[in-house]
Amino acid sequence: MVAPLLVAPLLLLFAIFFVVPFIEIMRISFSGQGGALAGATWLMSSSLFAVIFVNTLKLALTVTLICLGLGYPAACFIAGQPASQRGIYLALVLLPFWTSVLVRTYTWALVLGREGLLNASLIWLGLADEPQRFMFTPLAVHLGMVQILLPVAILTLVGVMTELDPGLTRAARVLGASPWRAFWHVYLPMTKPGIVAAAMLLFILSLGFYITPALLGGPRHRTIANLIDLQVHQMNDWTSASAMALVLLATTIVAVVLLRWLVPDRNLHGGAR
Amino acid sequence: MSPRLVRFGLGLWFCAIVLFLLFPLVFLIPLSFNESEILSFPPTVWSLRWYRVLFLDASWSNALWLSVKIGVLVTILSLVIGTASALAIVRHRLPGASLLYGLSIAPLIVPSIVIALGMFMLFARLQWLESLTTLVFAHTVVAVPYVIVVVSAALRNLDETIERAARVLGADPWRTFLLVTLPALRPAILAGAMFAFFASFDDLVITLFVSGAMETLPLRIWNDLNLRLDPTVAAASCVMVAMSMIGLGIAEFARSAGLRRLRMENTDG
Repeated sequence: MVAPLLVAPLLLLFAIFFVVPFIEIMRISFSGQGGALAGATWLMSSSLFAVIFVNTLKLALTVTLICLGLGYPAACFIAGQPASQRGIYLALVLLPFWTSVLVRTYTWALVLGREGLLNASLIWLGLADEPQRFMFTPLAVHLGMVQILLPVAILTLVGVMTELDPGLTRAARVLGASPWRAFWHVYLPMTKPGIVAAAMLLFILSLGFYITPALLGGPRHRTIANLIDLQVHQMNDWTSASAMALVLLATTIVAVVLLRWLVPDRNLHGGAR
Repeated sequence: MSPRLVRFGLGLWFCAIVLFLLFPLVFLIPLSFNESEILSFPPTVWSLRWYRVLFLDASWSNALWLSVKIGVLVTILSLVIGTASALAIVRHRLPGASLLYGLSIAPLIVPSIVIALGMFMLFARLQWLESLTTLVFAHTVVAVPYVIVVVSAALRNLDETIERAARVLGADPWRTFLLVTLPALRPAILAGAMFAFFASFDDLVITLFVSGAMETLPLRIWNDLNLRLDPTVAAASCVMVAMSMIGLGIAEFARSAGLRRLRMENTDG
């Protein structure tokens, strides 16, 4: 048999660089200096963790909702174009999608900074007398994350919308439904699997964000990923970092399982990346 | 509300979204050509000063070179490992193929901070940190899923009877792969190569945890950002954006060329 030989390199790579590191996380979170439950005890007692965990979930949720709200009409527009022209519009969305997350976050720092473009324009327009603080605010983190994830929302939604039968919406119109009724009772329900898939995907991706909150949110708007980094690199506390990584992973897995359960398999293929 | 008005409104909305998505990138280009030490907008004196620093200053050019080197090695590894796995998953009806496919795309779903932390703690114990080999394999874990996704999708669309015909006509499996399967997969492999390269070239989080003192370009930018906003970062960012545009162009061209050929073959048959 050739097949086992063909997958052997992949399995070997994943064993050493994916599975064993994961086992190491489990091992360290359950066998730190403070005994088997040191990691869990830290999670339960740390008020910092509780606050940041709730903040991470809230941030992921609001970013997901904003992306869906902004992305849905844009996806409708692309899906409504003739198939031959869709490529051009998709390219406009793909271009920022393929640009480095670090670079895109950095440009927001330039725009929102004290001497940045936004402050310069506000002062030039006479809307502000002195530079306003935009960096290290929730607004900055949301702007940065929405800019990064919006293409994912649009691409996922377009994938589902282009597979719909446009005849059904037209039939509703011919039978006397107003455009709004046709949209609300026919088109929107048909795109629901796409909305759910996009929502779960965005939520999963937002949970692990590290660069954007670190650069634009600063120390006051950390996410779990930033706290893991802080515990490892500043506090040298691997046990709590591992325990948090397990919580983050568990949350992601719950979201993936929900996604599989809510959306039939075939609707996932038009998805992002 | 007439349908035309709705369509106009959607178009306007789409334009606004595209402006929002592209605006930071467009803003970056003039900044990188600004002579001034301070990142002011609009630039008063234009110059290539920061590009000169990027390509001539040792710490910047070494970082750029290291990133390119790692990216190329990761791409080669990912193509070999990924294409072989895609063949096994799609063509060889391996038991548990769908489970294997799920595992192979898991590194895209698991937050990279979790992968990075696990690698860091394990490799610290094994003293594997701060090595080029480790960094290349670590990047390959997050790059190979793209190759598997793209190549296995192409394989599913490729008519298996063509390969079977080659086998019936006396070609051995290796010849069949080289002369029949591989040429048909070329567009997908090229697209996969681009995705794999940028998965590595753009990575910050995993590098931050396992690279030690070795600085890739994203890490060089990151270390600079935490000190001050140096205009060289703008120049480096522009180079990264230009590279991803070229890469995306190649990948899209390969993909659409592949689709066109597939369509032609289907209409011919």
